[in-house]
Amino acid sequence: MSAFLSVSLVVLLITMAAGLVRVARGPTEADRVLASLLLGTTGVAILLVLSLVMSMPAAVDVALMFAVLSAIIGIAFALRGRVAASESEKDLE
Amino acid sequence: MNGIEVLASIFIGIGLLFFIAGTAGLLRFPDVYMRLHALTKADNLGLGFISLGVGLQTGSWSIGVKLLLIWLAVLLASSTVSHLIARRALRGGMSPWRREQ
Amino acid sequence: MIDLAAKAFDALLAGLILWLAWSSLSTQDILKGIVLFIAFGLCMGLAWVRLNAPDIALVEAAVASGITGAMLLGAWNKMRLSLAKMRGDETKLPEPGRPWLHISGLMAMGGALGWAIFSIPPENTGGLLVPAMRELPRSGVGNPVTAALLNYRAYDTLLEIGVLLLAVVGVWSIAKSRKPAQGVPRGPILYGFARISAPLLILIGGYFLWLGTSRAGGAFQAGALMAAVGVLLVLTYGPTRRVPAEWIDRWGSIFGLTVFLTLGIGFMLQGRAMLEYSAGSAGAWILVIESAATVSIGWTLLLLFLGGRPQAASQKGILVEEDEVEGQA
Repeated sequence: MSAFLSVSLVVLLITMAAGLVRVARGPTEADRVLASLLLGTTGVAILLVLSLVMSMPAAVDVALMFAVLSAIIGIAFALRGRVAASESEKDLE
Repeated sequence: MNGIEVLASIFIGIGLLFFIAGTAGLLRFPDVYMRLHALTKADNLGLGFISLGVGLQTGSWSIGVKLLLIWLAVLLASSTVSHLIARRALRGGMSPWRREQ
Repeated sequence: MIDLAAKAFDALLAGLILWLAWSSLSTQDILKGIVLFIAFGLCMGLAWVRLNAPDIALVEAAVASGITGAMLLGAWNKMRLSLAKMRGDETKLPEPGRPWLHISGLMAMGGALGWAIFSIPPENTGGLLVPAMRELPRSGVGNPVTAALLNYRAYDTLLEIGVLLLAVVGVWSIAKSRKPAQGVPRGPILYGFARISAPLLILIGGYFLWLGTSRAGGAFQAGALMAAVGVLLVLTYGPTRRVPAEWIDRWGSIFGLTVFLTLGIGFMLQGRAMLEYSAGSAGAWILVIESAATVSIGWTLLLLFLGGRPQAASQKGILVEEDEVEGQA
């Protein structure tokens, strides 16, 4: 069982790395935003399996934090740059 | 390996397959809209299976409830974020990919 | 097989972190740099879990990656306009000049750090672990990290909260945040998500605050989640603010430091050293301090995200339409 879990950890990390390569290379801006979704799901999966492999129940709490924060970051990314031009200029003093 | 462990391993294995499929879609699809499909659907389903497997393996009810909550939260967040990304891309003028005939 | 897989995982993770750091710094596209920086932060969180440090992983994910990422995006929003005016291209960074100067300076610093680390006598490493774990039952909490933060080294935490307050003072001296505007939610799906998750996030923050007494958690993690609630609401509704609410900003950010200092000085007036809890009451005082600190940390992080001192609406106490404000200016 532990061998299978350890191997699945490596597989998950490889998928995450491959996804991040796409994020880094993706031509459009929208592709970059996919990073938050990717990390939110794959990162949580890695942490859940890690909680078994390392016998660390606290990793599940870290997974909860990951999920929540990746949601906030994703929303912040998707809503970027929505400020009216003249309003922002005055804020720069 | 007793029955529970075998079942948990099967679930985690299925989850892995979905994750691999999701990343394959992320890398190969020609359009951001399709990549969103791959990410949200395949990865979330994979996460569900992995949560199921991990929950079975730990055998503790409190951790199981926490895992369910995490999966639901990720589901909620992924759907909202993917909607926002797609809406932003569409309004920004990115048209969906069409196969050239 | 297990050992090989563990080594492969760690090697891959380390390589990924290094690659993310390099790509984030070397790219010309600022948004790409920000995204990769956030990914780097979350991968560092994974590394901390691998190193058996879930408390640090929580703070890394929440503060260093989450809130800082939101702040960077807010800065990017403001930068787009000034950069566009300057050079006509709003998303590219300027080319760096004199790279040999930077590289040699960094190598000198790295060499000095390495020399300092390797010249520490070996018997000094890990010296305080035994006494720290030995005194844990008397410290009032069950988690050694929380005990170190709020009992053995409470002075450090006091000063850290003070540093956050100083950061807010600095930011408020430099810039103003966006004008308050009509609080219409941006779209029904985002509105529904915010309705469900804002109370849920507050609950999760309270969960982490309570968890800190026995497992990984604590005031910083809970405070970051409270700030995340504020960030979510600001993103959903835009910056709605009524003028009298500025006092909430000021009091919210000093609340934690005030409670901390009051307790510390109160203990001194009772004849003990500063922040020396009486026997048996340490757990209760720690919880009080952590709760106050959570409020303050959340509020200061949110103020840093908003990026400046609050501006008044055009008419005192009344929310104005954004178009009206621009028309008057």
